[in-house]
Amino acid sequence: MRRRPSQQETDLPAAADPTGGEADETPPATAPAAASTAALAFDHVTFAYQRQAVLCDVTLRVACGETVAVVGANGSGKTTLIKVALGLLQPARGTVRLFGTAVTRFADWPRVGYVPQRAGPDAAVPVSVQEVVHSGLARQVGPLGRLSRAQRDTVDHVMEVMGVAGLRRQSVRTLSGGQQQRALIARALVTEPDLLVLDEPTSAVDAEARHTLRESLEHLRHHEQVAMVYISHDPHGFAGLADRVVEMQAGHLRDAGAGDGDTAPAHNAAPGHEPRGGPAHAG
Amino acid sequence: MPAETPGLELLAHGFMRHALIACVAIGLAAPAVGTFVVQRRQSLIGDGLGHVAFAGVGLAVLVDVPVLAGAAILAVGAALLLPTLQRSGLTGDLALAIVFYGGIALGYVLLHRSGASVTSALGVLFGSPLTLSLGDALAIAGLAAAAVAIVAVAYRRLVAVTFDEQAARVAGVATQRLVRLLTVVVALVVIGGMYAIGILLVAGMMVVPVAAASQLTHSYRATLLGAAAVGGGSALLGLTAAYYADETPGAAIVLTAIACYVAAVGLRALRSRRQPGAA
Ligand SMILES: Nc1ncnc2c1ncn2[C@@H]1O[C@H](COP(=O)(O)OP(=O)(O)O)[C@@H](O)[C@H]1O
Ligand SMILES: [Mg+2]
Repeated sequence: MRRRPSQQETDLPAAADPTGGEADETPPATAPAAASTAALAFDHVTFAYQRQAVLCDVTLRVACGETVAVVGANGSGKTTLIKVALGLLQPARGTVRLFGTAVTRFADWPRVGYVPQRAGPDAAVPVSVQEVVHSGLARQVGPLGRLSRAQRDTVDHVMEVMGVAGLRRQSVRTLSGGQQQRALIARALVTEPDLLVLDEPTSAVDAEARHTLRESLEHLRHHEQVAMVYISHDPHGFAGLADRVVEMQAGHLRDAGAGDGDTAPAHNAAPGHEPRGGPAHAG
Repeated sequence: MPAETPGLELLAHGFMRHALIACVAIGLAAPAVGTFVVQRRQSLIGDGLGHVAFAGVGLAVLVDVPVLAGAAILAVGAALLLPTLQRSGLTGDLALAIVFYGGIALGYVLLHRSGASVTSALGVLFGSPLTLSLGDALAIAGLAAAAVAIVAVAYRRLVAVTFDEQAARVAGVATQRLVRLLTVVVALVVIGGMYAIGILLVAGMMVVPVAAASQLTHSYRATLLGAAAVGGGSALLGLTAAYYADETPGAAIVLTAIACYVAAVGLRALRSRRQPGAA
């Protein structure tokens, strides 16, 4: 986000953005050079709950700055895919990398923002919007929880962008579904991530809130070059928002074609990448 | 009124001063820790660790070491072991039940063997704050202060983990370690509250004041501070009432907290009737 203000050519793809030191985090020998530029990479990943296989040999690459929509029927394994991506579930086979580092060894969590499908509305103890947003910084604050000046500014900024600044002292359980969702997105954005992962951001959200949400995501995509992976139960994703749509079908990931993203940045400018819209599965 | 100022007459007795120090300290600390426990929907964990602490009391009496030390070793040990035990195959609930009820049974067997009286067992089960020495009272206040200090240091991480554990992990918080820490803090409060409010009742002070405060608050911080105020106030009022009515203090304190809860529910109903939009 604000880490590279001079690069605001907007249509300059983040994948081709020479962000200096970031490639240094790649563990030597273990990752090919191309993988270091992917925000998220699944390599032949298989996952099962007890007996039931939910992900079967899934391969997926999300380049930096790229937006990918994951669609699929209920129970097809979309949430599981996201949890494996974030290291919340460990795959039986295959590897998952975040910014070139195996997720099991990944430590640079501020670069990743996660918006779960549901949290908070069923909270037993009231929690204010501001507290929810602050919790995204739980790891960064000082021992007694003091926020720095810069952190306070970022909190104000993301609440402004997500349109929840006016609700900061309200309890999240008194908010509408759309407002709750935007508070959770603000929490994910507060570390200025380079990859944002959203699990059904439009569920429990009315048409108007969907529109606002879409505009916010559009803004992140174009002006902050945030890579995004979002689940949508709408078969077309947020039509026009994603560069690419992939579909989960009984554990297999199937490419559902390029999104009709209006000014979709040209990814894969770097050599050695799969062509855009290329095989997202290895089924 | 018989005495000039009831409050002062109360304080003229050394044993009442000691009881007040111990009960108010635990009354403040238990809900501060309890706010996180309630949010994690583990309201009964304090109760369970109390059962284990009881076994520690029995053991301490039998081998003649300080009772607080015996209770502390077993309860903190159980707190550290619980997460491992829960992952060990037995369904979470079952493993807990075995440890917890094993604790109370073992405690009673050990106390019986040591020839301790039934009264001394009742003293830790239901609290006996009026028998505390100044040293006891200060030790209890110290345990309460340690619990509050840990909560203060880890406050933001605890809020993150209890509100949404998976998102906290993605935010880089070491969630397993933090959950373990929280369980240990619960054990500290249970041990501290054992003589003040009683093993069977102290867990109630982790839950009831939180339930009361959360009726009227909109944030985590306000709930925690409000709950601590309700807990400390209930300890003060309950102990005073117990003194004048010659009632048992631990029970009086918990009943006072429950009265606060009922009052808070009423207040909330009144408030939402006056302004139907607000919750
Ligand atoms: N914790 C779990 N334990 C066992 N099975 C699960 C668990 N979570 C999900 N599943 C199963 O895995 C499959 C995929 O679930 P999920 O990833 O939530 O699908 P989606 O998000 O696409 O609706 C479903 O059949 C579901 O029943
Ligand atoms: Mg799902």
